[in-house]
Amino acid sequence: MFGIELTEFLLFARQLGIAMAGAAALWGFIFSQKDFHCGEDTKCVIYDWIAVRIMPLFLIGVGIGTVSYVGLLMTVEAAAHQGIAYLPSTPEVAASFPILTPLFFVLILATLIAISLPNKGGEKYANWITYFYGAMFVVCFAITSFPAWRGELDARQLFYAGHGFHSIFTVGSVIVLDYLYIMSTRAEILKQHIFALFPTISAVVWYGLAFDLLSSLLIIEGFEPTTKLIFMQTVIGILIINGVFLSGPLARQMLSSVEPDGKEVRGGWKLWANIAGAVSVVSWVTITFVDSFENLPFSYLEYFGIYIGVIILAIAGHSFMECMERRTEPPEFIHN
Amino acid sequence: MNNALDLTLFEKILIAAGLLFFANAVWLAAGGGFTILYVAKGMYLTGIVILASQL
Repeated sequence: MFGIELTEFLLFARQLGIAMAGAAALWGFIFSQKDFHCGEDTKCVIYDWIAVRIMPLFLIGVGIGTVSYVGLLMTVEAAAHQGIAYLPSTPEVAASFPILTPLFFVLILATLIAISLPNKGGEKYANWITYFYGAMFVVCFAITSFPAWRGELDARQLFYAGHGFHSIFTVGSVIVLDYLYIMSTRAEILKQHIFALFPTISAVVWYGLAFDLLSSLLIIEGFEPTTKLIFMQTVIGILIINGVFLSGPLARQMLSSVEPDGKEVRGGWKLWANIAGAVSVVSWVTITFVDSFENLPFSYLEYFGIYIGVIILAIAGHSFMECMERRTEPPEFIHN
Repeated sequence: MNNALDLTLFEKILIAAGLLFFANAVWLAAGGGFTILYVAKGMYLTGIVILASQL
């Protein structure tokens, strides 16, 4: 349907799922390790609470990634003999399975241990989860670095790695950022702690895109001026300019709003924050999606029309989730 | 003008890089080559180097 092959879809879903899990593990680790550097005040409790609240996102990512990988294990080896040609090739994807299967085994086993441990609100769990997130980030990084294996460490293999692991720092981190932003609407003190990390998350997203652009220089001869590439260049332009707006003026406005004499972000700024957040998530997912499929039959206008349609839906969904989250009770240690 | 709207050097360079990606899309659609793409990537990476120097 629409030129989408099952194998391509499974590769896309695995990439997106593990990028989400890897980013959740990365930022869960960063939030949870912050409590080692503060005293006996309540800030530690808040950092730990945020870290534990990132776990559902990690589980969703692991679930999507694992189901897609199992799907690939069942379908790709049969397809590998049919000579389907796309980047990376089917035999190269199949050759990565001996590397990826043990990594997925570790990921699933550790995740099962994490969800089966009792007293998830306790201090012991909060301390343990720091090491869990750190280790799972390394595992997810390794998985996304081997979307395929060529049998040698040549320029194209390095491109596969850079083009793979950047997703943790880009699409995955943008999803985590949006999730944290929506969660922060529950209480002012959550905003103070979450917004403070926005500049760091933004810098990591910028570096992630730099990794991707650098890795693409390794396959310069592989570029073809297709409609898909032209559309993707347009979306990259949009996500860079939108990202500057989001991580610059908007982030500064949000940070100043949580200062002691700051005013809450309202009106136009609030609307733009919702629009820019939705544009950012949709643009990154679009790049990852479109890049995964070789034979999408759309014209430039069709690509762009679908992209705008999804952005409008995302803005509506974003506003709805924010509204629902505002009605959710803040954690019990928060009294404001 | 609101101070929050003032852009840093790094942000201005990234906006220029973003605009170059648009220009590249138009240029490719018109049958041009990849020169603008390399300039856009170079501009973006310059911005990232400036960001690194600010951290």
